[in-house]
Amino acid sequence: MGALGLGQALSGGMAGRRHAGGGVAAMLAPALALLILGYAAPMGAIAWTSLHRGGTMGLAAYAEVLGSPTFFRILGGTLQTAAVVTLLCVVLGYPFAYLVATRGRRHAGLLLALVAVPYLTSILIRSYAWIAILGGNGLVNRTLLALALIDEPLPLVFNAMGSYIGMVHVLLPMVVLPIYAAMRRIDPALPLAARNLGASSPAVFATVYLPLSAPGLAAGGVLVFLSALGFYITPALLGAPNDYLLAQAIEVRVAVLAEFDTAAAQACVLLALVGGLMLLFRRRIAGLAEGEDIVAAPERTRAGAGLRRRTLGAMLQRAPRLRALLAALADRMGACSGPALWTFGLLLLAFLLAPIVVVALVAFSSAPYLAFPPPGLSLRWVEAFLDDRRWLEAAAFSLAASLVAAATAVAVATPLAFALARRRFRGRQFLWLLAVSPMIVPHIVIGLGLFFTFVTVGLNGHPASFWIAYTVTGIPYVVIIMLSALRRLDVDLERAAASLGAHPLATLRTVTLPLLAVAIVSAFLFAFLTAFDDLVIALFLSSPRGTTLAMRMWEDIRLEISPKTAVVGVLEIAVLVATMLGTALVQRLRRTGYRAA
Amino acid sequence: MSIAATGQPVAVERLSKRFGEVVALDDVSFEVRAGEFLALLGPSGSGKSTVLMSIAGFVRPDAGRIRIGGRVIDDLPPHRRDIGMVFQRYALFPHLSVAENLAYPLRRRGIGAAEIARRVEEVLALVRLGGYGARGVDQISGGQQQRVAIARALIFRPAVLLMDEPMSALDRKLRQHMQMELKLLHREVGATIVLVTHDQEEALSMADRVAVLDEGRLRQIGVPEELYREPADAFVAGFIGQANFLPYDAPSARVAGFASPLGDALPAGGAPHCARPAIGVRPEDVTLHPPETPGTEPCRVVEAAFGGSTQSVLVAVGGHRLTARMPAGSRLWRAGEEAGLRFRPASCRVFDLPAHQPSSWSNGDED
Ligand SMILES: Nc1ncnc2c1ncn2[C@@H]1O[C@H](COP(=O)(O)OP(=O)(O)OP(=O)(O)O)[C@@H](O)[C@H]1O
Ligand SMILES: [Mg+2]
Repeated sequence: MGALGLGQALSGGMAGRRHAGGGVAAMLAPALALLILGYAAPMGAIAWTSLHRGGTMGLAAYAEVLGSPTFFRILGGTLQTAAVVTLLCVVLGYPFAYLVATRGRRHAGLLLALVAVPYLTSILIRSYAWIAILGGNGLVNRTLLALALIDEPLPLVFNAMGSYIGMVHVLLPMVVLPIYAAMRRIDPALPLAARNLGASSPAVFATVYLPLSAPGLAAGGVLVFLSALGFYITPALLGAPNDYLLAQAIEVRVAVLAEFDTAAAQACVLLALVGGLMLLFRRRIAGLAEGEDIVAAPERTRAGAGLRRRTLGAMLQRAPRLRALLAALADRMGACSGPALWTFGLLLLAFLLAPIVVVALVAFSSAPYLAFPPPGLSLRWVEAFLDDRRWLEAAAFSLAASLVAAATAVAVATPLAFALARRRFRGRQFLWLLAVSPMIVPHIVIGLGLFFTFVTVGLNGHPASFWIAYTVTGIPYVVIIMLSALRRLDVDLERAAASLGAHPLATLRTVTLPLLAVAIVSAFLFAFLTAFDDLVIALFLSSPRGTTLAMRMWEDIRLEISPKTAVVGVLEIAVLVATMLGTALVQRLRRTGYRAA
Repeated sequence: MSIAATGQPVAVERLSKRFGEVVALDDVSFEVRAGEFLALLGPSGSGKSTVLMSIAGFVRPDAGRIRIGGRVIDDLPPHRRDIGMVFQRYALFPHLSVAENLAYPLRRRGIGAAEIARRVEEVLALVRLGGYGARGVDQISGGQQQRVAIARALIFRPAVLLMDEPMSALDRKLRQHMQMELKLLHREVGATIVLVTHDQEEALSMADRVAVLDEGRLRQIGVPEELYREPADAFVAGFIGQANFLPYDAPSARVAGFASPLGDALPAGGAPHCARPAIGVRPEDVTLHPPETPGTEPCRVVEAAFGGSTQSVLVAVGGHRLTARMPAGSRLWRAGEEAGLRFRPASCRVFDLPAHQPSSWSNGDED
């Protein structure tokens, strides 16, 4: 297929349909190849390993796993933790999203940015900060002791409590953002209409706002629950040392016990659980992952209506007693809603931002170990980091692997998003699911599968293995962000370019890509951050041939807990904030630039 | 004027297009003469945009051919058709300034920077936007955006200019103003123009000829007076201007339910054979007289509306309702009055009503 064909394939509105088949194939092939190599094959490797013991095929591993009470205790604990965390996130996240959505655009933007900074900060660094805050010698206990409110430190961390706090901190933004998006989509005239029809403001909330934002609530809840099921880092660092969740159990089986087949069998159980829930809630997830039309298109029939009937919003519409209860509750809350909501919002922001502040302070601590508040300020840990070759090498390796993988993800997943958005072809829904699911399938499972795959081809620990792995984890973000951007891109703009004489490739260069530039940059950033922050996959892939910065921090936190990790955190946050401010500035300049030009 | 181009004729030959189950175009043929201003008129979903998109090359028809200047262009990709197009929402590039938008088609044609600058200034002056070149396209008003969109479509001197409802985003006052401007512009640039609209007033007042589409079929094409005076069928009669339809009884040469025959109201030649014959008559061809006037049909005024220079009167007659419009200067009618009704000589036409239409209806009172 020539360049012209590619251009035409990318710009969907053209009449040149003769190249369409070849065009779609060319757009899908690179992403598909990487997804097969780095995702489908590893999943197959897990299944294969789980079915083989000592060279013979059988269900021995499953028999062992499913016959073990310990496994069911771990599974139950995992489900329970996920449920508690989901509930906490929903209960805390909904009012916060309401607060943000009912502010003006400018305030809302600021509040969301304040949510985004911790959201985009490495989970490892945040968990580290929580140790500094919650530990026996940490901020909270020190304060309470100083105030003489307690006699000895409270056990806030290295137990279920620590796990919950850390996980809620990580997952809260995942429910705030979709709820906020759903609330923003509510026609502002609807609450006014309800008011005009006689509803008090609490009643407006219960009868209009809540049912219409329920889809976002459900979507966020599902996402949080699915993510919590596969959590590794936070429970491992902040949870009780002997109270494993499923992901930890799998890792221990591989790393400590070297029981590959049972580890694979457990991973299959986790995968089946997540996969089943994902399929069940695929409409909810589709709403989050820009696949609404892709998932809904082939079956806008009674089956769809049946699924819709089960949504929270519909349940609310059909349950008068529940609605009355909520209205009464909202009525109570209505009186003190304004100040109370703000107080709550500020407390939640403090919770979200506390680890960031703590990391910054610890990085410049003069103490030889993790202590908070730091006894004094110094640059010793910054210097220690900059003098440590092993850390610098790991940083360079992580940076290189993440940059290359993010670039690859953007390069292969952008054409994929174009095809998904603008072409109708068989297997479209499946392909979308394949491309976005690495975001939802626990990374412990992906890491394990990659380990099995790369070990067999002798690639484990090779930089290429990181490249493939991080491309796969980046693809979902690129697809989602590009699908959303393409949906907002007016096809008439590309048609206008063609009518003005632009060759399809010129249209791509002068109109399509410039208009998608912001999306491409943010897709790249998300893919990069996912790679750079990864620990779980690196646990399986690291070797003397290649070790990431996250691995160095992980070892450091587990063995000595020096403030070096905080230095990395500060650097990362600084780059993040600079990027966010830079983007905001560029957008503002763009908006006002012409007059000056 | 250097923007002037030589208009080329456009021939649409037997165009058909389906989208799945929907028949968007069904064997549509018409010709636009060189330099002519043609309006494509029809209700929503009638296929107007599909015709335009086919000419521009964004829709590939299932069957049929399109010629420009006698040359078949079916195999030319859109960017090589040299057809100017004004989009409904203008499709101005948001990342480019006004001047950069205007320069865009010239850049694509490899024209030198000095020449581009000269022509951009010239076309900005033509649409009276001198000094606005550096603005962002979101920093100008809706009317100005539209002028930029038209200027951008004209700057490369296309022989044919297509416009898809270019006025629909403007308020009524601005729309009337721009209609005037566009007519003047057409005379100045000389390009062949095809304008899509669902506003009959816009079509009648601007275009040299009007083509009426309905459900993917071309109903009639002609100069505005012709469509108004001699509509080809009930659809055109009802769509262009206003009309009353009353069931026609051919053997007695009366409207069904009327006491008196139509007499000289039907033009000579009588009624063609129809399955559901109905007479159509325009409100201004219906006159009201004092009751019992000889040669009138007795009727009762149901509602009367004063409209400045005219009055519209809804009357009940022979079990039907119809609208009459008369100068307000004569006698003002009031609801409940008895009257006698007459049709002007040769003002009625006989149509075959389509099956889905009621046998008597009037669109004269739904302004
Ligand atoms: N890309 C498409 N896919 C499916 N159906 C289409 C598509 N484009 C047009 N149609 C259908 O074809 C028919 C004609 O559409 P078209 O846009 O040409 O109408 P129109 O006269 O321009 O209407 P409007 O005044 O609403 O713009 C409509 O029924 C429309 O739904
Ligand atoms: Mg249209």
